[in-house]
Amino acid sequence: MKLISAKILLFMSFLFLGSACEKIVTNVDLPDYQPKLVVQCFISPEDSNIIVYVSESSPIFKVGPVYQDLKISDATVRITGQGQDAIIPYLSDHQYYMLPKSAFPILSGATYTLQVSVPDGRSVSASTTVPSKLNTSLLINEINWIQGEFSDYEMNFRFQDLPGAGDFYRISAYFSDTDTNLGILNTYELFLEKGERVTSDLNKDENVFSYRVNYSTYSKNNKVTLLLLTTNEEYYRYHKTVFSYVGDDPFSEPVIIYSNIENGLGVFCAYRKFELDSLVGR
Amino acid sequence: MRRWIFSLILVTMSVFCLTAQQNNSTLSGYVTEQGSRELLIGVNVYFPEIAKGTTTNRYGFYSITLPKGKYRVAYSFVGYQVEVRDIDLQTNITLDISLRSSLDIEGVEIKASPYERISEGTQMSTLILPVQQVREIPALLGEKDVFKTLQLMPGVQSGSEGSSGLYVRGGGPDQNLIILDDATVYNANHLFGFFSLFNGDALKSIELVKGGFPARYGGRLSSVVDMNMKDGNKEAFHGTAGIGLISSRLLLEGPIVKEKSSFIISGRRTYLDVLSMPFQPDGTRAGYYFYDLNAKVNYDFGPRDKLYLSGYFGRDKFYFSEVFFNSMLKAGFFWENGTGTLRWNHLYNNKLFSNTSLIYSNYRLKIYTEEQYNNSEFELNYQSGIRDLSLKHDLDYSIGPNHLIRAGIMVTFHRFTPSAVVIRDTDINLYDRKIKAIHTVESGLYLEDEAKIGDAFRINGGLRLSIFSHEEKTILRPEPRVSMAYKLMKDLSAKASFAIMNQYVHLLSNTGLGLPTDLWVPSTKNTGPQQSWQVAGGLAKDIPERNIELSLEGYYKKSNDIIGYREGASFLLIDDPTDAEEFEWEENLTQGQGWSYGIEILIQRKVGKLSGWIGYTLSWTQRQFDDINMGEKFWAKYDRRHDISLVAIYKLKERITFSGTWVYGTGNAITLPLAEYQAIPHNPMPGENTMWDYWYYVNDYGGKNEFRMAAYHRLDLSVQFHRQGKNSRSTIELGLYNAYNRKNPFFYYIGSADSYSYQRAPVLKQVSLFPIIPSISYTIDF
Repeated sequence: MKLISAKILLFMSFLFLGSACEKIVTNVDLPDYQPKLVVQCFISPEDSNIIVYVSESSPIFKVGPVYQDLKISDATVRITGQGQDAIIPYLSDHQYYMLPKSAFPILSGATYTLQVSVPDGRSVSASTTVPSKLNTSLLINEINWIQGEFSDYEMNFRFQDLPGAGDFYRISAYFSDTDTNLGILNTYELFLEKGERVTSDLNKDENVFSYRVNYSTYSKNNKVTLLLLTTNEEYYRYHKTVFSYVGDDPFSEPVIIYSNIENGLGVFCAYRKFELDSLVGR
Repeated sequence: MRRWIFSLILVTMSVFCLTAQQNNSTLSGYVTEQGSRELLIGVNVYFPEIAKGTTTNRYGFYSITLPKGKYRVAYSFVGYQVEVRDIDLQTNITLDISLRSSLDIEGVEIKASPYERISEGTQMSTLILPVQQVREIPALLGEKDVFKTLQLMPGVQSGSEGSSGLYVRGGGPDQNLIILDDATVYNANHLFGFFSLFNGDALKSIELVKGGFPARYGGRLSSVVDMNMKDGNKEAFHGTAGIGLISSRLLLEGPIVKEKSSFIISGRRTYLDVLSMPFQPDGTRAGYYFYDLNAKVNYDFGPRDKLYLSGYFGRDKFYFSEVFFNSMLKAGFFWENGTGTLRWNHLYNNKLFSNTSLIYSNYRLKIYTEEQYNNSEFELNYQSGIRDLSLKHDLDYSIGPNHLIRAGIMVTFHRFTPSAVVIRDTDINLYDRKIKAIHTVESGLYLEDEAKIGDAFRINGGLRLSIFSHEEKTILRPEPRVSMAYKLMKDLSAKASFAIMNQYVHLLSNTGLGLPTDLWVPSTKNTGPQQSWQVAGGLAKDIPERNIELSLEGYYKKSNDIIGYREGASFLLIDDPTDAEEFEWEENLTQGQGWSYGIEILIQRKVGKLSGWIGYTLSWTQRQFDDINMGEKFWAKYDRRHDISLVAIYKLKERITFSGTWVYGTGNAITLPLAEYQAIPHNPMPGENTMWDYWYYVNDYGGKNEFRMAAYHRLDLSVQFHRQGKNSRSTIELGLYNAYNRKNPFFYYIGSADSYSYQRAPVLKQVSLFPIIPSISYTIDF
């Protein structure tokens, strides 16, 4: 039930006054901008690989093609921590940098540093600490058939925050469409009908957080996978801003995407993972 | 605790009483306007031989205690002729005075009174706006506006184009305490802030305090706009009618019981909806209007008791309805303010004056939609608002020639309803009410002493205790206040002040534009009160031979725990009102610090053939929030390095008045995208390795508010032609808003230079709101 939004109200008032006008700005100096390195890397003891994405930013007021490829393939990517040191190689098939867990294990509670440099001399770095806590309190409350629908269900689930302040979480739910003979056909993320994707326990220590997803199921092997990530603050702040990003909207305050990359953009952060599978076939 | 505070007040008063010498007598009384018996606020009562004096309080009463003797006393007030009396003060004397308006005296050039000088007062950072000037200054579409006139004063800035919000010394519009006859007005905007609720017709006095707050005010961080309504003419019926491009207005006043009781009623309504009615298709109705209604009655029970009942009611409404065969749709929204004040003035004796007020204030926004189709009905109502009930008691006690004590208490019961939703659907047999109300109590207890020490030093020292209770939690905060003046030489004083302020209500605004969707919420255990302290110092100089006042002030204000919104936060409940129950505004708030400092210069000529002022402000305003801009300090959006306003009113002849205003302000600080890049959220699903598919373009904004818009400047002109009839005076006004058609930026966005190209060619574009706009209006006073 979407009603009138403030922008429409404002537009109505412009129409009412009937006098708004537009022009290209020529009386202010546009900012000068040098492209920055953009790095994204999410590490976890529960993950099998360390994956690093490297790209660069592109100035807004630059004339160029509509679609631009900003990925960087010739960077030197280095991870250090816990007395270990490794260079992460580029995988051209995937267009990212990857190192298997076996070559560089990630430990809970440990701090790691990532350094990225490119041949033109630019270099960036960031450090992050893996959470030592892992919340495993994820529970499914109930699954209900949605009245009046043939095969639509809603699933309610919850978890309880761990004692102590400074905990951050991410919730994701996936539906796997399965064929008896062919196995999993595809997996897609379910929209959270209730609850936020990333949460902090600020002012809510030991609270219970509740969620709901809806899905349709036909096959008996269909599966819903719930993931509860216990994340560090950098993970939370980056995703909180990315998920609430609004783009250019003159009527709301722009969201400045969080970054902990020194001299660059993006994030280097860590999480722990707890997974709960549930067969939801009919 | 409260008993302790009362004891403190009593002890202090007793000490002053004992020190007051026995060989003193008191001169007291009311000062009114001749011809209407309207009580006058702020009239100077001055004893030139001993260089002492006082002013009438907001109820027109004055009292001064002096050693017995013979004196000459002068009563003076801007726009009125000075009254001088010789008195022999051997016993207590009650002397009611009526002053003659200079407007009634033809052919006399008005001169400022020699006794009424800013260099004489203690108070600084205070602007008194003559209501007459509001009527003479040009305005957008000819709609006179008190707040837009206040914006022309140094230290007060407007936000965006056309907005009537006040940004005082770096504070936002939510930090202004707007009071009309003691009642707090929560949303002072009509038409999304393009006009304020106050056009000045029914107002008697307008005072803006920017700093050095006297202890009698509290509850907001940045300013107090204290307005008092006229009481109504006690001698004869009079009225004012006006017609303009967007609204018409009417004011009527007159006696109910001659010289005892009077009334005033004033209304304004826009009529675009009425004019557009004939052009709308059958079965469809859509429109917008706003109206204001002010009313007041009073009764004078004699010299000791007076009773006043006043109220304001105003509403803005957008509506749409359509009837189509067997279906009907109605939708719309409105916001409304209502205030009511019952005041009782009581004179215990000629030294002790009291006022008791019972105050009601209500603001609400309602969005409604109603659908009918055959026999099924759907209805949804969304409301948010705040309702206050307050009780206030103030005492003014004139102890001697050197002391005036003020003390009082105010208790306010707030009821906040951030959201209330009612849904009815006959199809699925649904009726649902979700109303979440929060009750809080806010109290203030104050004591002020306005004292004169020696011939040159004056001080107004005071303490306010503010108390706020929500559920089991009670917060008590002392707020010391002091302002001082030292007379350096004749007509030149140095002044200084210090004040601590606390604010227990917060405004959640999605856009900062003053939309009705902005919500008032209380301090809670998670979101504490906002606090600020301010020091100011300056010089006040009079040049009486030229009727000129000059003031130079510097200020530094530090605010703590001020409210900010987490980036990407939304308070637009109306996007989905059915979810309102789950709306948790506290999560979207963050608290941080603010710094504001600057210099203000005001050169003002209140009377004369050429009157007006030159105002200049040099200021800096910064904010810092842990959760915004990655914790770095940033410039506030309305941080304005330079702000200039020139206001001139020139009475060419008895029948012609020219006026003009020119404003200049540094451009707003905004966040402009500098670059774009690919943001990849983490995909936590095992086996899903195609994460590059999930990225999308986001902007790199650099820091928050690091870009400056182009400067704002504008010239407005108007000419008024007056005609004096036998029993009436009429005025035709021709106005020109934005006379040289400056295209001031309202907002910037990134557009494309050439929409047909396959290349990206972004350019910065601006949207301007008001080009040159002529207006005409007609007013008749009868």
